[in-house]
Amino acid sequence: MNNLIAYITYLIVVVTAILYVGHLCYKYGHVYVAQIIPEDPQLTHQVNKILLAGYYLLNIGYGIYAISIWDRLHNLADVIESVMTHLAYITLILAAMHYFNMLVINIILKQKSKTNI
Amino acid sequence: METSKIVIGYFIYLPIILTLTFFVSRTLFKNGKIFMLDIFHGREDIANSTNKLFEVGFYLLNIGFGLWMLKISSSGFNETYQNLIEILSTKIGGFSIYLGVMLFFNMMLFFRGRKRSKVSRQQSVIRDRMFEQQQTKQPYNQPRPTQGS
Repeated sequence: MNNLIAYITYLIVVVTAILYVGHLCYKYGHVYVAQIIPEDPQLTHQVNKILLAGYYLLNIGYGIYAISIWDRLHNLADVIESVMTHLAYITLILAAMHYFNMLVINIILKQKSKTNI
Repeated sequence: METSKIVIGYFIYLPIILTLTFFVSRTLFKNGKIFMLDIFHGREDIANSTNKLFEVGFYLLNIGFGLWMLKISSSGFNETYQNLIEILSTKIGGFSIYLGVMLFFNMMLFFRGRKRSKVSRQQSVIRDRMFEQQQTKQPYNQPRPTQGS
């Protein structure tokens, strides 16, 4: 019973967080993709969508995998602790991916501006 | 009943780290927009996007770290309020120090970006001026036909 409570809480929070962060990155990342590929707005849109799809697959995949390695829970403290630890892992993975993406975009933009000069 | 003090600890710790992160992030990125406008030479759309993306990263990193630190292990816990307060103060103090370091790190990024964009702007201004001088030099070097005749 404790495990069920943990799974339900975890899934609700994780799916909400993943969808919300993905939406934010999609919305605000459009400017960057448009700057990298300025000549074709249709292609920009598609590339941005594919990036979003890859992001969803990766994160929801990890989110569901975490359930398969969940420990047995005995009391309320265990429930809170395990839910929060798994949330922490997935949030840290999201953060690492986010910073990595921003770094890659920065490098691409820098190279592009160098070739333009 | 024996783990109830740990649960109390969790319920004190969680709201504190969430509100701390929220307030620090709000302060940082409300003022960060001015820096971003300076960095991107006043281009509103990309400055806004960058600011927002940095904000998302800041939230993810700090909330992730705060939740990761949450666990109070029951083996070293002797079920007194004194012990609970000691453990909580260690955790919350550590988290606030971490948050302060992250805040200064982000501010350093802002200042560095601003300095860099200033340098590149000055270079482009110098380049433009040199180009203009070369353009205006051209007539001086040419022989002036009106004086000779």
